[in-house]
Amino acid sequence: MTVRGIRVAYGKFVVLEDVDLAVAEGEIVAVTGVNGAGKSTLLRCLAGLRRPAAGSLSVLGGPPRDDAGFWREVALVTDLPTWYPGLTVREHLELVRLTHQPLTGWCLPTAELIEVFGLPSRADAMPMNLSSGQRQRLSLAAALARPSRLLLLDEPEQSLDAGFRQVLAGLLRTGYAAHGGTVVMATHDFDFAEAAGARQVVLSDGQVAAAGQVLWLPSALPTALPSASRRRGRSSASADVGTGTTGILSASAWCWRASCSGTSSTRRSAG
Amino acid sequence: MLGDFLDAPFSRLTAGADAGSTPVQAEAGIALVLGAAAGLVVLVQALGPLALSPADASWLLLTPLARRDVLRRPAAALAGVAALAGGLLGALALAMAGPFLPHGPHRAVGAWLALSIAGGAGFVLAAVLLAVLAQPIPGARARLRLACAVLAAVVVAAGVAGARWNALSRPVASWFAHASTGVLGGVAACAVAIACVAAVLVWRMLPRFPASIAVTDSARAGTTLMAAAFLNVPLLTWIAEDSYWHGRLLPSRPWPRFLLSLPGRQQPAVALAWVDWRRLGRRPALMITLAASALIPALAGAAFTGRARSFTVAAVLLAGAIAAGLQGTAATRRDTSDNTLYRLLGVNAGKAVAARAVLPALLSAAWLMIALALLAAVGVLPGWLWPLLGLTAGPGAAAAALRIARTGAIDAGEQGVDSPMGPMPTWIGTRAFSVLVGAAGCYPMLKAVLAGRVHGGSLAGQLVVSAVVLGGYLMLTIRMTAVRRQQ
Repeated sequence: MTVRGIRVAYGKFVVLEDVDLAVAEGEIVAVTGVNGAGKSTLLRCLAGLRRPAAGSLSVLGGPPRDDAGFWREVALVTDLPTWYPGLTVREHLELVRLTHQPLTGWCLPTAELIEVFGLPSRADAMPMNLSSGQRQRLSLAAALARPSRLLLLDEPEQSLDAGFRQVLAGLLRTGYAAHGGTVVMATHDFDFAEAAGARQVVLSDGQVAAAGQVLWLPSALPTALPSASRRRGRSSASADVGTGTTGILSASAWCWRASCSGTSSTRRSAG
Repeated sequence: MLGDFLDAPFSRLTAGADAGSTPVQAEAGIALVLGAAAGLVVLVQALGPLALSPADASWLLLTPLARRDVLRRPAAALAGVAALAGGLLGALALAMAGPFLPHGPHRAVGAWLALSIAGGAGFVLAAVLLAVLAQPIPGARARLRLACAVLAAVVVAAGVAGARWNALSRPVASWFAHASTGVLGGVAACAVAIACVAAVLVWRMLPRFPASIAVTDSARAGTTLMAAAFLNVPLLTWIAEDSYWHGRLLPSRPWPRFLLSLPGRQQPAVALAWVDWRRLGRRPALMITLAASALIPALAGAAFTGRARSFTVAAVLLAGAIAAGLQGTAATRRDTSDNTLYRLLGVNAGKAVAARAVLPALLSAAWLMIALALLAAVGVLPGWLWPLLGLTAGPGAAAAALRIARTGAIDAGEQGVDSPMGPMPTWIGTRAFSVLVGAAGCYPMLKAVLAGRVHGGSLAGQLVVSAVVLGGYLMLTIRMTAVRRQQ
């Protein structure tokens, strides 16, 4: 999967500018950055839901397209989906598997998913009657109930307790990616990203600020350090907030080993 | 036509028994009024019944203010609306029964009208206040809703049966013959007394009305009212659907084996379409209500006369067929609103649209078949081909149901396009067009109903029109989906 110089703007507001990204098969990439950095927009571009104004994208050998063939290869977990009325948790997972028959590729059977995702006591409930964390678990379980080559996750850690984040990270690393699946996820949880063995790409002001492996993170991160805006067309209000990553890097609060994509596989296999 | 429609019941208010009407029409008309009253109580219950504006619910309920002072105004407004609607229904009931009250209205119109309005207002007010009393009691809401549904079903069925068998309608007709101003006055006094007792009970309950119930019901009422204000039927049905499934636990069942034996290319779409089949299988009460609602065209046919009758019956048939088809589109509506899950399923859009058209077409066809069979049975429509005509018209109505289900959510903030009447939101046009699609799909049937006769040509014509309209809609939808994805 390659992204070359893409530019995305909502009107005059530039969200992504000249973003490059290359992800190898079987790799896990965590896109990080402060709120509004463009993480979700990048994922939407990769999913073919947003067409860049400039640049090129190649996902699984071609431009992403919003059709059944593409979605049989790509699983996207963004906001909590609207579940079908009158179907239980178990039936939803079975339905996902049923629509992807024959199941050629790595995926988990329904019973195991329910067990791993901690939903045995809620298997016969309607998704609408679950807590937000349980619904997030169900969304992720549904994505892993079917085979796919690329998993796009937008803040998968949201609403999940700390313990299950580690379980999910392990599942992505030793299950999905170990069987050749590629994961690109936007996340704010560095521990989760690290546990998943993800190569981290930091977006700041719509540009890739750093790419590499996180080695050490401070426990308390400053979130609103001032920085100069490189983004054209930004309002003065937005220039004052949400620029933490650039500020953090310039303050040398983090230790990065830049451009070390080769180390991610080492770390993954070690994990 | 509108004049005929409005004039039909009210012209009978002062007419004699020889005005060309029959007791059957009076009974059917009163059955419609009673059914409407039951529906009104259910509607009011869906809005609370006792509810505050969202702002008041957030800011005033959870303060030291006396609960009765906070709830007094919405309670009074609710009582006022109920009394007004009840009075209107009372007047309508009198209009329906007018010609068959020999001691009555044509001699003292003012007194009979006043007593009918008072009686109607009293009964409906009492029922609505009873709903308020039941509001905080767990389970009472559902029981009251069931009682209203049973009442509506019984009176509608009795009205239709009375139109077919004189033995059933004769006792009611004889009661009409003996009704006098005194009897009506007694009934009205009784209704007002019951309403007064209910009002006292509600007044005494207000200080201890649970805040949690008021907050929850106010939030639901706010959403429902906003949806109703914009004729947002999908949102209204969404609210009703979620309300039904809330808190339910179901035994998970394996998907049918035949889905696994289907050819690989068809299997995903059929499995996706099966979601609505399973949902309907789990809502038997909805199916029974749907079947019972097929009585309404027959009742309308028995209650109205002249040109108004054929137009009313045709309109009710079209609306009922589309509504029946919509019951099979819940999953489509969810996917229209948010296609995250649909993408995860990775189903071919064209095949999914086609597979999902089967259930609405069957539901519309079955509903029309029953409704037209009943219309033929009570003698409103002569002939025996009507049920077959209904069967063939189902797919035409299903095209409208599918189009409504696939229409996007209403944007309340939309500016609209300029029109001679001012800015016109586009959603009005899209929804009106959906109904026109249904009318086009059922055109031969509607034409036959308006003419009051059916023949083989109508059947053949309807078959062709249904195939063209539904097939055309599906082809257009699939093509437009493909074009949208290429953009």
